[in-house]
Amino acid sequence: MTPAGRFRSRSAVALLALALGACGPYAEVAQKLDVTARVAGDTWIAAVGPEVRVLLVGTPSSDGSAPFAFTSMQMPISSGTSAMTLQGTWTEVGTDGIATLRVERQYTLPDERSTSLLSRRGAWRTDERRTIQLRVTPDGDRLVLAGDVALSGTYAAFGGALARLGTGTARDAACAFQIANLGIRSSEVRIIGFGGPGMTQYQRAETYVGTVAGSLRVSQSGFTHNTTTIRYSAFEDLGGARVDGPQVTDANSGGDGHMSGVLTFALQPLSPDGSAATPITGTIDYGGAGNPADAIQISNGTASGGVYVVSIQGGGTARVSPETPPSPSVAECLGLP
Amino acid sequence: MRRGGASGTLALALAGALGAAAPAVAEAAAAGRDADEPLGEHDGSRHALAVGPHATTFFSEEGSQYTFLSGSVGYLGSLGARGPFVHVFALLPLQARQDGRVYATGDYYRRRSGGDLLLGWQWRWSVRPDLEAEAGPGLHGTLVYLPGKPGYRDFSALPLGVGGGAVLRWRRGDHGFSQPITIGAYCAAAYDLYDPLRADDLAHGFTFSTGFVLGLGVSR
Repeated sequence: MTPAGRFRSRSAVALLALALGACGPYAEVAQKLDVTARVAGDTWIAAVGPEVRVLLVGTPSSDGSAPFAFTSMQMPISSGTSAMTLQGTWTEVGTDGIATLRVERQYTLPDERSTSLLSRRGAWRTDERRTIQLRVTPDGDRLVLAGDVALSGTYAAFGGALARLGTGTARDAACAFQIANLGIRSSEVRIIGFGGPGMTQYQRAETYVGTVAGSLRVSQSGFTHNTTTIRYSAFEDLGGARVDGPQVTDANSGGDGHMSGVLTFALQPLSPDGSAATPITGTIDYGGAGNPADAIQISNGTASGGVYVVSIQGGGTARVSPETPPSPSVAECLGLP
Repeated sequence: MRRGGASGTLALALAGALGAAAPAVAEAAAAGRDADEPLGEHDGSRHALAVGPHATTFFSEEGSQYTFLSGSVGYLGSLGARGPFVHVFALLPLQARQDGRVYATGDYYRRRSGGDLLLGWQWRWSVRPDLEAEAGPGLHGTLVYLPGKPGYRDFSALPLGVGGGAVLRWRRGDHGFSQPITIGAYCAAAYDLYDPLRADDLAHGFTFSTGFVLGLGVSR
């Protein structure tokens, strides 16, 4: 077959696949897209190497149970790679510091950078019926979890940790990006099909709620050349880190293209007494901030070039590469143990 | 006048549906015979409309079993005593199952559509003077396409494989459009082993269909 013939053949398969919202493993039958349960409570954050762990525990009911959400994000590069979220019920009875987590749902966003676009699975959700036992030890404004390797660690109260952020320098702006980006990454793991060809599902727009507040609406238009828009509205997946605005990805059927759109972020630090300090606000420009050559480039569905242009309102600016390790890291920005 | 313009139009339409079928009426005309006159040992083309239930079940590499039960309406066509045949159906998936859970598709999917194609080579023979049988192997494909209602995920599958089909035709002596009318039954079964859209996930699957046919063009 000639190169032109191979191209036509691949294009035909791609077109059929896109038309059917297909590729990757079979979908679950009758699967509801968004089943997120809101968690109104505390946000805790820990770092284990390049992995960032975020734990939200809601306000306990009279029987001691509370909704929880736990997200693990691998951030060896600023754009992130894989992520996983657990949702369920957190029960702490008595004073022995033992918490029982009843996991009801697990979301998985695999690292598929080396997988061809049409073979990717993207983010998926499974129903779970398992429990995890943790020993929970409060330590000042920290929480020490032990007993499960996936969740163990020393967690800092997120609102208090945000008070370590500055506003005036390029480093501060880079930190603001790394923190705001956590909420974006944790939202992506819950968008069924995210990162794979299953995103054609969103030719009909769908809404996902934020774990703490707000929502996002994901939509896609086009056929062989797709425009995917994720529009955040007062979206909070981490209590105290809000994002608003559109994140737009234009790509062809091979997953090559670029990003655009400007997100605004608002980070709300808490003073030691628990009162709200001055928020840190700013923007993340995916489109190069007026210079299209700096727009985030997408190759095979993965960020492969360009920079996130970050500006803190009344403060510093930074240009963050999606392909390099976070500098500074989330742990360095927030002073995490 | 048995061979009028209407019969010619119908024959052409049915031939078009088959692809390149030679209309029985045209053969008869060329030979100077009536269309229901014996043409020889099971010669000629056969065209029929079919209706019946359709079931496809398949297993994913991840260990899930999916089953779709559908209503189907289709066309069955074949050429010659030994020759090609096609069974093509439009599906209306009514019930979906996954790992024992049962779903009424209308509750979750805004459009329920699908298709089934069996394309192969058939042989005809007489069971009785007025009862003709036809059977043969072929290549098979089923498409299930279920775009979700708002808030629900789409589902699609395209299992492909090999299978076989059989048709029994009984000529009752009635005519329509100058053609002998037949009634009968069909059945088909297939083993599916490849899904070009889910190549990483289909382990294997089976498809079964059966139903009634109403056709034209049998010679005996």
